[in-house]
Amino acid sequence: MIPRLDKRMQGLLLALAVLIVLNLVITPNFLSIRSLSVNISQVATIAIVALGMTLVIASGGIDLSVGSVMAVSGALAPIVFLSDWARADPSLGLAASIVLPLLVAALCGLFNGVLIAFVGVQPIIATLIFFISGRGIAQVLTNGNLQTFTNPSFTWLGTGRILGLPVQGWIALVLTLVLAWVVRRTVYGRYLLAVGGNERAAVLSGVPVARVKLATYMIASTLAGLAGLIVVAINSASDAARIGQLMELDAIAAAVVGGAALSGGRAPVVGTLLGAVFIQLMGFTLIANGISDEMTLIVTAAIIAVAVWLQSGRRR
Amino acid sequence: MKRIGGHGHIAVWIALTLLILFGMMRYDNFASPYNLSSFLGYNSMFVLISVGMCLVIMTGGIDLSVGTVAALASVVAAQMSSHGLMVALPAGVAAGMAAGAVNAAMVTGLRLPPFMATLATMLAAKGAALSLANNRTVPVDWASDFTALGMNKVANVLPWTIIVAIGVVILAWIIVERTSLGRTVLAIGGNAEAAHLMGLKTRRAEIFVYVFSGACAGLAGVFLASGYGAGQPLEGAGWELAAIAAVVVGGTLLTGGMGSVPATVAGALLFGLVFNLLNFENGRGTISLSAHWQSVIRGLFLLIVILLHARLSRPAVKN
Repeated sequence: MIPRLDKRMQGLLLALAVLIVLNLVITPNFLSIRSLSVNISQVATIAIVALGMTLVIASGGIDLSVGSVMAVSGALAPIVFLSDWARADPSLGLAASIVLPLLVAALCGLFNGVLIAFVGVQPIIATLIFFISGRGIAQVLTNGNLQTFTNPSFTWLGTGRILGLPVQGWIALVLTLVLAWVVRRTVYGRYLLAVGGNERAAVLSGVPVARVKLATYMIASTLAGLAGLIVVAINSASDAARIGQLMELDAIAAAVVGGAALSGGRAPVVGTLLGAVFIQLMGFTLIANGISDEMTLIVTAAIIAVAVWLQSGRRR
Repeated sequence: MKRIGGHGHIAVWIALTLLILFGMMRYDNFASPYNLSSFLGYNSMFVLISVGMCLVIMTGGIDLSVGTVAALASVVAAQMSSHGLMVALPAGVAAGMAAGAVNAAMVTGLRLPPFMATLATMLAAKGAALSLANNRTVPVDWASDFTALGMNKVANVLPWTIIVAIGVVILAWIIVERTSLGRTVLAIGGNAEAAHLMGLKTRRAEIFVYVFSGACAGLAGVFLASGYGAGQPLEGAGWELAAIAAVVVGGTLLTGGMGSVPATVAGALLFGLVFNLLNFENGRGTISLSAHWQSVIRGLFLLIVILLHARLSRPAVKN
């Protein structure tokens, strides 16, 4: 279980390297802190959600609800720190505005997990429920209004810098390393791969399958909740109708390009980060060089198809 | 084999009947020709994509591309509308079938998982729709007969779109229930390997369901352009999930192998009806639920249906 660079990872790294060299040649100011920061802050939220999605996919499931969970946590945070008691005690208010939305996000994951692990509903259907309702709940919470605010300590999550680079990039990086460790070195990680690899065998060999799934969906939702907070912090505004829209697809794409297989049993956490970076950089390259958004969509579609094809080809 | 889900199907019809009776007794204008025709006109699109989705899901696959493919077809149809309905309609359907053929090629040829293959097509179709339409809605040619399909009604009540949609439903139903193609579709969902070993033409059936689903989405796009007077490249977001929900409510298991075309139609109508009833309830003025509540209630409704299904046809997932 020593982290080794398998063929998939080599291919992805090579593609990334080609893309970076290409950009150094053709894109002006590619290495400037500014364009680096733009790319990092755009990719970080996708990467954070994609990390959780990778675990879910590794368990043989899928989570369509992540965008709605982002909307709920993103709607909750301003409600908390704009409330009277939070204004009276700003530091407690700040803590609560981060912890409370994350707890609610974890509860959303619990809801998904219970449906999937205990009721036996298929993941795509179970998470479809919160996909549909979650955004509605977020909009009901905010009456559908755009919440704008100025709260420098909260917005640091999205606009702060460490060593000149966006905070959320560092968060994504740290989370990647932590989860990579969790997958490789903890009992939960071993159980997760066992469940996704062969659920029946896992049951028979005494793996607590239901609890593993429950934990996995809770982790994914909590990470989505964190991404929701970051998006709100970046914008200094919370729009429940828009936060996290289509995030589930971006996250799935990043995980799959990074080497996750929808059939489960593989959790390439670092690959997911690279996959997210690759998709981001590809889009950036095209748009920075005058290719239209529409063509960028089509190219992204082709990349996803090729990535999935390469993986399924090598698996047989 | 198909009858296993029997009680589930009956439940959908009972729920639909009860909701309709409830609406008729509670709201004066619920059974009015106006409400009926606008309800059926709007939901004819969802009936179509749900039926296409139902066939795909019967094989154990999924088609995430239906929404953006419908948007693409609406653009194509709107651009061809000056040549008349008889050109624009086939053009829109052909655009949908082309997208379906791409899905079929990726799923049966390259053996990509349907979820990822159709996800790629979803993005590509959106890109194609936007670049064809130059990022704008495309107005239809009002001088031609193109808008007749979406705007004219039989006896001032039944929109032509629902009649066409019912025709497609019946076609799909006959194919599933009465042809060897339909039996193969169900066999693939039951056990693809066994179906193939039995000598069934599994690849042909898989190609068929994706192209059929594409054609349904294409036709829905034609309805959209014809009924609302414009090709809309950004429409269709979330349609795929509405269609999946309708199929599930109709009792078709996502694992494939069983399912019912008519129950899927009932599922699609049920979802539309929840919205319709909520609008009437708001109109009475006693309660006022904002539009945001609609999606919450829709999700709750899906949850209830799923829990009922889980009780009725408890699949032996564990042990």
